Amino acid sequence: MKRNIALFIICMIFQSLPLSAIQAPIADSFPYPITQITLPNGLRVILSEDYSLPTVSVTIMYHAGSLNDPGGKSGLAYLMENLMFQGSRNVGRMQHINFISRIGGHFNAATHADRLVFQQTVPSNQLGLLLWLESDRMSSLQITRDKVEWVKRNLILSTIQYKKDEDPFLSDSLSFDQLLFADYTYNHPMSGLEPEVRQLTVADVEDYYSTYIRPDNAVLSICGHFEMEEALELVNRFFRTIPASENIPGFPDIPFSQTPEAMEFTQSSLVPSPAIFFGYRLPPPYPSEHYVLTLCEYLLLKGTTSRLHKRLIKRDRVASQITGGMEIRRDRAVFKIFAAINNELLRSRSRRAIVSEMSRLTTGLVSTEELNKAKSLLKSDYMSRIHTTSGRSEFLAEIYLRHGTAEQARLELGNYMNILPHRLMVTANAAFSGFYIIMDVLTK
Amino acid sequence: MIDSRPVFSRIGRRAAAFVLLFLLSVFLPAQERFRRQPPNPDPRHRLNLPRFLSHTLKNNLTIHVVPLEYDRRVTLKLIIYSGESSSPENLPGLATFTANLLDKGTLTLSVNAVEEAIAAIGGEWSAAVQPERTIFTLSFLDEYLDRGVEILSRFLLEPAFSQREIVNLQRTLYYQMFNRRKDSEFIGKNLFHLLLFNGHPYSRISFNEDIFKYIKQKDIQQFFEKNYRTNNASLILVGNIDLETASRHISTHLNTWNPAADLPADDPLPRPLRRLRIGLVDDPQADGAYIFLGNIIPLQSSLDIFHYAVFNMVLGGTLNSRLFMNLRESKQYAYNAFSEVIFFKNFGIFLVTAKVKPAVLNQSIKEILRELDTATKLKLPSNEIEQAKSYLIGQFPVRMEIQEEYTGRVTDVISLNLGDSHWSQYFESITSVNADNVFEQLKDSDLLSPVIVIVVNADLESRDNPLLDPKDNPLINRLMAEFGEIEVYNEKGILQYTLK
Repeated sequence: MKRNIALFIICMIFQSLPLSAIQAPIADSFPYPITQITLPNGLRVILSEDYSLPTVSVTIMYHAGSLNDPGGKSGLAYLMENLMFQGSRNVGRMQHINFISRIGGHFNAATHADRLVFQQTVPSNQLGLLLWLESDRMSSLQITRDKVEWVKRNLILSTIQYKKDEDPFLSDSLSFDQLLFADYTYNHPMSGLEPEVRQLTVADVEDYYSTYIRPDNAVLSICGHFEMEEALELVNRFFRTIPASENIPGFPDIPFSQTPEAMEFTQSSLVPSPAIFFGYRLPPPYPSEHYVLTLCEYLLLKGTTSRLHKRLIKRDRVASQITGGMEIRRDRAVFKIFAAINNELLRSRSRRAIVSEMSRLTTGLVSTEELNKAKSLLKSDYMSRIHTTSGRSEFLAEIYLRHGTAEQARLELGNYMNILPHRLMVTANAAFSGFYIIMDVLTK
Repeated sequence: MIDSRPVFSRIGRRAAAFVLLFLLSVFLPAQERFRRQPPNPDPRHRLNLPRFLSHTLKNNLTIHVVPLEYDRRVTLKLIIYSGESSSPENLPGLATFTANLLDKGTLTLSVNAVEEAIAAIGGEWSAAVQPERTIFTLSFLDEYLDRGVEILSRFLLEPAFSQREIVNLQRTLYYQMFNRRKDSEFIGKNLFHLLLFNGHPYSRISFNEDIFKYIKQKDIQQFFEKNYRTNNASLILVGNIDLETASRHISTHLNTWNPAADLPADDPLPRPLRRLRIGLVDDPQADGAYIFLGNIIPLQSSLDIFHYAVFNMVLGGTLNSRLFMNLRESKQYAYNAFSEVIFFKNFGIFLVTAKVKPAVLNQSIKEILRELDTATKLKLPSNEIEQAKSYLIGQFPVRMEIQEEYTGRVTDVISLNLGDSHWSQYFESITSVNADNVFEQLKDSDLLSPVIVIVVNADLESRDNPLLDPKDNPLINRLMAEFGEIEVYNEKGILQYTLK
């Protein structure tokens, strides 16, 4: 009883504390300049110079993703991502990749729930090439039936098959997503459901392209070795005249629903070992608490010294693999844990171990030493990310989409480092004291 | 030929085309001129890499520091100039075992305590064993420099090598390797090194998992005592750090680490193979035919490395290189086809790898040999050379952004004795490569008498017909007709028989 009262008081204190009171920049956590401009057509541009190596990275991030796949058309955003490499008015099919590869650069693209990301790094004297390539596909992508069918067949459907072959737990994981994210908008797989992908048409892609692949729905982030004046001239030259959409629909607004009670499911699959999927729907407000919950992820699941690894694999020896963490799909977040367990007889013991570790986090203070360890691991990952121009350009674009200004990047590390044990316990308590969802996977 | 169509029809079509063009130009938005072509690149920006700063401590341990102000992580590399070739002849794998045991507890720290200590500094630890050197990597946040060096010192000054951890590691490494044998690429590369080094101490890199059970505590202790010595090691630190600070911390923690009175002698240089040799593994799980084809390349000067690097790009370094374009895109024999150059101290290996359709295995090998023949006997066209140079010059700084790549390069420069100019004159050295000096480099090489290893589901055991002679196997038959003798190995690299 005394413990509950103490917890209540701590909750009250921290709930009444404004977020800004615990936000403070950490020295050198983002030691790069940041310049932000917006073009008349709405394109937001972030520029950050760094002269340590003669390289430059460009990330363009469109604020649309698989959440914008219409009902029954899953995989559309992913199809869009792949079609962006199939040629535009002045760039031939796959030439985008060739241009970059031939000069020793590298590229990447990804589809997320709420963003499409295109990222490339090249020698710094080739910034003009990158901006030319990106502007051409933003302004004049050439979408044809042949290309759509080719991409569907050779990239999307083959990727779906490849993923199934590579990951025996994939279909179970997708089933679990359907339980965790209750609505189709959030729970359909990013690469799409096979029958729905087959039905996607040129008109679907054209509609997605003309709606979302617009300058006023994008953030362009440039990091590395460039002269500001020249970069601004190039950005203006290639992007200023691309017309804005001015009518971009927002993301679907679907109310959050918490599970009314603990939910348990069982399914049998062709998998190499029995397994448990365990998760929580995290209630809004969101994402104000995601810093704390990310730190919880490090405490519970990061590396061989994390709590769940130590408990299930080292101490109890009930599992051979344990993974998971926060998963964010724009305004919806869940916390997932996956454990491949050693045999069926150890299932209930494994479940008890997971529940017990979650409970320990919500009711007990984490020691300063353990918290600092989690922070060090997180800081190392953070530094590793912002050290490269590619990681930094994507990071700044992400921060812009999340906060409306890239300057927030300077506070980002501090948001994690300033978390105290009490705040962690209170937030964990609010997030993980609700009902969990468990899915047992049995071997067929 | 006379056009028999009425004149008005011809005029009408031309007029219609003209009108259509006119309408298109009126109603379609005109394209801005600058969109038609990519802009010309600016002049290349200079690459200014920080210099290596070095210092040798009283105990003969040499420290190299590469300061990178903008990086808040430090990567510490410990190079021990002994690798698998230093393992006893009857105990290949001992170097690997010792390296993997180093972080499994010390006299004052349990295995768990070591893991906790590394995690607490945001760190990661790894070990990689090569034929002639062993490289340990500890990366951590720069604010924990002292703790990072202290952890390393515990490994080196008070290793436990406990019987319990030896047994655990024997089990772990056995299953790791056992599982890797399900991978055709692993099987192929292992056998390739075995045949290429052919009895040379470097061939001990190709051991198999059965050896671990024979490794005893005293073997490990002896190997450690002999090879893990200050005058057989270098420490490299890359990150937000200066030489003076680094030397102070290292001296504090490692001043009692001692040199050896007698250092192990250097291995003789392995020699290139002078006749073609084929080894085959019948792997029922292979989902294609895997080819590993290559030979040893002697290196006389540091510029040779750049000649081979450019040649590699032309032949098989990228998706646009000759091998990929020919075997995959043009002939459609291959799923992939690449080449690489692996550098050791004073020599290298030029290796072609390809995964091809088993039905065209012979043709694929012939095509690879033909490409090698053409590329080594005729001067490479300058446009291909320039393209390769452009790729290498562009790729270098892009890859150096990643600290692991950066420290890997630094480690190679130091441990392979490549010299300062290899580091500071990289662009200039690549720029100096031309068709003539590549031709000179290649004309006397032995690339056309390589080791060829094939991993394929050849059905040699004749699962449908156990009495069938392997020579009657159609795949073997075709290979023997083309290349003659074939040595057949099992997946562990043990010779089963030779087909002549």
